[in-house]
Amino acid sequence: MTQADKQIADYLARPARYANIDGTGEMAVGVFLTGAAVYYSLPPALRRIVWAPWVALLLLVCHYLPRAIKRKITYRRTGYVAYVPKKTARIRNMAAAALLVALTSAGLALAIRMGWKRGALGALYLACPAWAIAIASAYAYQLARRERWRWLIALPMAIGSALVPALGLPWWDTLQVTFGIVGVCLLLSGIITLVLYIRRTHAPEPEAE
Amino acid sequence: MNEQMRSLSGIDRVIHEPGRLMITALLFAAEKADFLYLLHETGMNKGTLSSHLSRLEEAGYVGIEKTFRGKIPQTLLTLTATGRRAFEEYRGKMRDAL
Repeated sequence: MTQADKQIADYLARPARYANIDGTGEMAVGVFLTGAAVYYSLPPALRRIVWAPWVALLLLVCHYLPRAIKRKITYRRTGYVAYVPKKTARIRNMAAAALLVALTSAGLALAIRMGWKRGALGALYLACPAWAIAIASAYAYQLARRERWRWLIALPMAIGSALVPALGLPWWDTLQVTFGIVGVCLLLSGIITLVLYIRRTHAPEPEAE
Repeated sequence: MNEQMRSLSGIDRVIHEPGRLMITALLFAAEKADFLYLLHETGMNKGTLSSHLSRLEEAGYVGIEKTFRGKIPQTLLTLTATGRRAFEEYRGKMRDAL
């Protein structure tokens, strides 16, 4: 790849990167995972009562919070861009999601068939940190290699999640704590990104256009 | 060498200018963008960006739509089908030449 080609490739990648310039992507995932962890930490009786409103509230917050931040802050400061993922990227993402769902379903089906025996539970214990470490690796690859402060999020996310099985909690609690660690880390990362974005950018003068 | 020279001579001068190349590439990766976004990403001043956009519009590469976001005026820009083809051809020719 020539220097000119690299430069063009960088320009082409910018609209995709801009989608998370304000940290709303991480924030939405962080809110969802933290919300799920908080929900599972509630007493079972209360969980049964608040299940539907809790899920509705989480989905509403995850949907409207990023939109509101973009509309009120981002578009006014650094403009609007409608990014369309390439067809190949869309297919790749859909294939990855389908594979993840298939593997999770197969794992759960196997665990149920084995009557939640020791082996199946062991697999679930391993699956929790493996899932969190995969998210931390993706975060490090996509974001932390560009901004060094993000390693302060990626490392605790990976190390914390890897250490959760050592607490010896039941697998359900292990999953809940892992959700909490990843969720809080992503939420914190989103908030820091938003604060840095606001500090680095200014709304243009009224006659900007 | 002759092949390379022939490729270079056929290069699109409208897109080849660094500022316009940046604008075209940014719009190529997006469905649409507003003036403020291009101002932020390119680091140009308003006058320079406007003049490049006018040149691209004259060539039929960029579509400009004036609209409102609430009460705030907004200029939405899109790369036309001609613009997309021209950009792809430009990239191909540059790869052949270099």
